[in-house]
Amino acid sequence: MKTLVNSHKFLKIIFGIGLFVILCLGGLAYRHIKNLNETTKLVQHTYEVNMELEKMLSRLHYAEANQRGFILSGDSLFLQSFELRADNIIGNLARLRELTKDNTTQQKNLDTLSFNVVNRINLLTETMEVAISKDINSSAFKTLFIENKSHEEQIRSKISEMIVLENNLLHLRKNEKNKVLDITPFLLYSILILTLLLLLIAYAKINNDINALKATNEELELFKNLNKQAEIISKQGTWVWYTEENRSEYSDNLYRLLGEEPQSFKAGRDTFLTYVHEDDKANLLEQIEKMEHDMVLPFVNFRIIDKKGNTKHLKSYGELVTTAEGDKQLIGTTIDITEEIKNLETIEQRNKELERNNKELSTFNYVASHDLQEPLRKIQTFISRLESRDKDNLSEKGKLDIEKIKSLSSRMRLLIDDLLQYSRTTSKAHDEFVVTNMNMLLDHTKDEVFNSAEGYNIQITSDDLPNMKVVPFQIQQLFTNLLNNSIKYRKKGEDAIIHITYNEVRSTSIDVLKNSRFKYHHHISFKDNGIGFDQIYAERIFDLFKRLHSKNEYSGTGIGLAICKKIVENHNGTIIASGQIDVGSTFDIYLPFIKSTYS
Amino acid sequence: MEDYLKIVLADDDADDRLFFEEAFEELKIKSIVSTFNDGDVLMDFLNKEESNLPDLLFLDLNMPRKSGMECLEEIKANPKFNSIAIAIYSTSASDEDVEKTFIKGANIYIKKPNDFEILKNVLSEVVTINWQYRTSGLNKDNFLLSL
Repeated sequence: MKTLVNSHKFLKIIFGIGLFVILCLGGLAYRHIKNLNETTKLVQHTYEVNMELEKMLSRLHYAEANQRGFILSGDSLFLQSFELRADNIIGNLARLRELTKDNTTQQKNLDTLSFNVVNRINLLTETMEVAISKDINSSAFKTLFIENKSHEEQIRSKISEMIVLENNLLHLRKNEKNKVLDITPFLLYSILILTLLLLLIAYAKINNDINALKATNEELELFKNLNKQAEIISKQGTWVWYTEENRSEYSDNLYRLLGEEPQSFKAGRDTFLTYVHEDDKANLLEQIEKMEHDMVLPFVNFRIIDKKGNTKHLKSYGELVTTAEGDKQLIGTTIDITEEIKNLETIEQRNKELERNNKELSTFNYVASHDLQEPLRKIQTFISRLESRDKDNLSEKGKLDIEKIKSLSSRMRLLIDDLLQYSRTTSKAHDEFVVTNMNMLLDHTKDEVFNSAEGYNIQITSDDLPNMKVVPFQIQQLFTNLLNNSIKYRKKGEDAIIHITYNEVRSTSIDVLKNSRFKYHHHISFKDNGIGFDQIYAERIFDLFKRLHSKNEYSGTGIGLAICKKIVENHNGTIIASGQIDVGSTFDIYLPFIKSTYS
Repeated sequence: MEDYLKIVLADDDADDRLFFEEAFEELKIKSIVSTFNDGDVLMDFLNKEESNLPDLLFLDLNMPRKSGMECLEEIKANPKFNSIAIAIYSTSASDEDVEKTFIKGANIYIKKPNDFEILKNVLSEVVTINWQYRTSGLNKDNFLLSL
């Protein structure tokens, strides 16, 4: 834009210079022609003067010839002719005086010449009179006649002098003018060339500008089309309100939003309002009136009913802009937010469902913890009473039945407790992550495990663990379950040996962590020397209620490892089991962390 | 009757009341055991029998009408009941319940055992506790009676 403005200025300057040069050219040409004219006049003047002088000279000769004719013949015809010539010569003198009046030298010369000429005519007349009255052979006549001759010489030389002078003057003036006249064509030509050059530059510049303008126009057209597409894709429409003319313009897509063909009706407030939902009309109208007053339309949401009868949620925003010419326009955007609102409603509904589910879950927790346990506890209490009071009265089979009922109700209790544990792990809403001394947690767990060990030996080795940001009671539960699992499935007749190792890993170095958004993971590994398991169960081992052995071989609910997986997942981590029958099992726990936080 | 220990149980569960009474019978402790089947009845009794207040009160938490927690609040708010030692006697021992009752001033928390013999042991231990001594050294760790 700036270059265009600059080139506009440049063009103005070029045209100014061009105009000036042409004006100068005109002036020069005028001067040149005037000079030419003057020179011609000068030449003509000189010729006129010379001609007049020559004429006078020849008339003098003619007059002399007539005088001599008269003297010889005495015919008055010659005399008449002589007198005519004399008159003509006086006329010549008068004309010469007129012609040379601006030249003092020539005037002086003319004075002398006039004197001589008049003298000569007088002399000629006198000679004639002498010739008539006296004899031609008289001495007076002869003297006069000779005097005539010398007069003639004087006049001739004077006239020559005057002609030379006039010619010199002509030559001088001609030279003077010629100097100017010689330069003028060159000057004219070069200025013409210069002007042409300027015009060429201006033309190039204009051409350039037109091309730039074209390119800009094409770009603008492209943007316009892109904008049209963008409006369709994003379900937007734009509008302009020319405040002074009180005239509106809608973009094509705004018409489409209303369910109408583009530009199918005249844009305007009242027409638009007919599409607006009855309940929103008053508010929108109020906003528009405010807009007309404040020149700004804040975000306003309203519903419309389009031509096809669909209800749509729209949102509008407008702002006042002032164009370079000072015209005020309120430009605005209206966007269809129906889908957003629908999505929001869906999300809200789902949230409510989730809330309800959560409530149900906590009710279930309560039922499991209290209502289910209570009858079970009482069954156990009654059986213990029955056993202590009436055991002796029961048959052997009856005693066996009581033992069965006792073990079954114990198992029931275990199941309920584990289920409760699992559901508590699942609903982690209140659990807080804190930086925890993991060695202390592990030591606590080890103590617990050692305390409950009866009739077998346990050996546990462990690496030093760094502090980690975890939910402590969950991690303790994880350690407990893993250690108990290893102990439970130890080889018969052997000590349970468990190695707990730690290292820090880069996520990219472990296959299962490749897609993790964390860069580093803590890797804690529990490796035992137990009975192990077939690798094909490596994943199913973590399923709820999944057991690889019958209850008679190993007690358990099949929840312990499911809880482990849940806990690790709560920590955004991964747990992987690997096993080999009769060799042992390994559980690898990967917990992500951000390195800078605690190193 | 002066040296008989006055023991009161508020529990809506008839079986639990039965276990409780029979356990004391079998324990042969010099005691008078009274039972109430909800918190309302218990509070009516306590407010009426000011001169004959119990030494030891067992409170079930989950009762209709007035819960054990509400009873605990009312008793602790009234200075004339200061002499009563309060044992919470509940099916579950959720962390939340244990914490709340401890803060509200109960003296001990007992999770109902699932074995009659163990019940007898627990009750026997509780009545023989030197309450004066226990109350002064009470803290969160020994509040829940571990068996």
